[in-house]
Amino acid sequence: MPGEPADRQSAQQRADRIRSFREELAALEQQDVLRLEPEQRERLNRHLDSLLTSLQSKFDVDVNLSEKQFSWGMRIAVTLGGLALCAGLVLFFYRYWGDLSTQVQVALLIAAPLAALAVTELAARREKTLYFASLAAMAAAALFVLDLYAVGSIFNITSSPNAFAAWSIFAFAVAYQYRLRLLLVIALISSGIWLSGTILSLNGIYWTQFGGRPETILLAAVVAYAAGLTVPHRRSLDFPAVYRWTALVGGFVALLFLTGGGEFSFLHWPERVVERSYEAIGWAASIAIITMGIRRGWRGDVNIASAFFAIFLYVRLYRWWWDWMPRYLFFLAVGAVAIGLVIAFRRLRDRSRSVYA
Amino acid sequence: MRTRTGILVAAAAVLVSNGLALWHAASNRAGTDAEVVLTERELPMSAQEKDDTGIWLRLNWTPPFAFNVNDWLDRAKLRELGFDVTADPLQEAASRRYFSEPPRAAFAALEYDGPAWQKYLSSYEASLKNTNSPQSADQLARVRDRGSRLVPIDVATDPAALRAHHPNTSRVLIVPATVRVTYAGSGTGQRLTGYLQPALTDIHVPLPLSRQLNGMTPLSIYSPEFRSRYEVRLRFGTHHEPWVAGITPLH
Repeated sequence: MPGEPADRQSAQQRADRIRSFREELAALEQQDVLRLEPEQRERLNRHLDSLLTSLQSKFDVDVNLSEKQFSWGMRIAVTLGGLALCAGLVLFFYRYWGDLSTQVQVALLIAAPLAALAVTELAARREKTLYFASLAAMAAAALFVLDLYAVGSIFNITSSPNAFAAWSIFAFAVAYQYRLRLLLVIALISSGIWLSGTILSLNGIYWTQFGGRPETILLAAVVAYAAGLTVPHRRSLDFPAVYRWTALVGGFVALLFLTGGGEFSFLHWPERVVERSYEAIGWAASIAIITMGIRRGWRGDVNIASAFFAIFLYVRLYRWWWDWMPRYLFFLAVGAVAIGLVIAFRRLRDRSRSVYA
Repeated sequence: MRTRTGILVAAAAVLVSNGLALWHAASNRAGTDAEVVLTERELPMSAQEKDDTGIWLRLNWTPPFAFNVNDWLDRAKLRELGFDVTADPLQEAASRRYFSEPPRAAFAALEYDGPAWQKYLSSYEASLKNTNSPQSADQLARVRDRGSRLVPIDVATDPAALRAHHPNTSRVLIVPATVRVTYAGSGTGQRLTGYLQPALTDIHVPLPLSRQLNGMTPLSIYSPEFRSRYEVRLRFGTHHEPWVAGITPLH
């Protein structure tokens, strides 16, 4: 079929467009703006029905609103169920591991994530929506985390960031195999922790001290954002956005921390200089991301950068005015700035509309 | 047909990482850096979670910087560990910087029941005499008869150099630790020192050794009934990671 969607997300978007088109067509006919001949209508309905049937059979898409609502319910149930399942499996192991010899403990710990991977593959073969596959994939990831953590504990191995490299590779592999966004987020966070921890270790600092040197998190965020921009994704079209959003949240939080804690920087400059420098970077980065987001139509990027732009602004106002202004005046001024921001963002929205148009 | 590269990579990640962890554990146990027999005073049982059947012993050492025991952990030693200690510690900006300095990875030398322990006891006794507290005798008895006799005596980033300085492998343990900059003294007499913490606190007791501890529950040294109930033969390997080699009940 020409223009056939490549994945389930694109197929769902197509099904949604068809539903909107039918609703709009009905409204236009009711208002006597457009009227199709019975033959045209029949041909159109036949074409759209066959398209929906094809999308449903190939990708198991939701063709109406109630199906879509059920799907959301299932997604929430899968996430909550996945978390509960992970907690249950971990607690089950700890409940009985004291009664097992070291060899049996290690064998079970290695076999468990491999078995969960096999279940994930079986589930993925049987269903197109991947609800059960994503549940099994989450369990597999949790079991692998338990595996390395428990093996480290059994042999009293000093902790290091290297386990996060293994968890990251595992989560990336499963995320790309089944196009699971949650696993991709886990993979990105794990690889960020590995990168930060490794940089700290190489500098002689204990590897868990990310908060003590937020620049390591900032670097990991920049790498993830660059990967989101440059790594081609022909199959998983929604993955670059996950890279960018995870990176933006991590990077802006690190910048925010540095604007108030210059003493935590690697830079041995006066604290105030470090804080002002990172504040300037925060402003520049949020404005750049908003601008780029509007130009490219990346709504999520614009929302995240706008939220942090507002936070940077309020932090700056607090530093300028809190000490010398009466409190009531400070809050009135902040309210006035908020109104100004709404006007500014409205203008930006209008600009983005014209770009989309 | 759908490729299964992802699933194969994920399975390989499980197998390779476990293989590396097991190889690391085996290479640690291929040699012995230290072997020491400790009691429940130094290795009390860790508090168990309700749903956790594993048994753990906690490596317990004396308070790291109490009573000037760690007077060897001075500014020069901190510099050796990689801290930038050029700023005058009495300046406010410098103290903010020192307090925000993240802990560095290091190795600590812990001496068991040796001169450092005797020095610690003497310092403690002297400090209690100054307070004239009616509970002094009980406090001294608690530390002297029930407290851990493992005392930090040195710290370095290179464990081999540390072992070369302290070659007694049946009395001095080299353990992974972290060091944070802190202050000792008060007023204008304040000076820089280090706060030592173990990087590995809980030591797993595997079967069948854990059977020796069956039926025991963790006991606090603050309890007047506390008496060491077991001795543990603890070995440290080439990576300075410990394992329990034997447990002997004492009563």
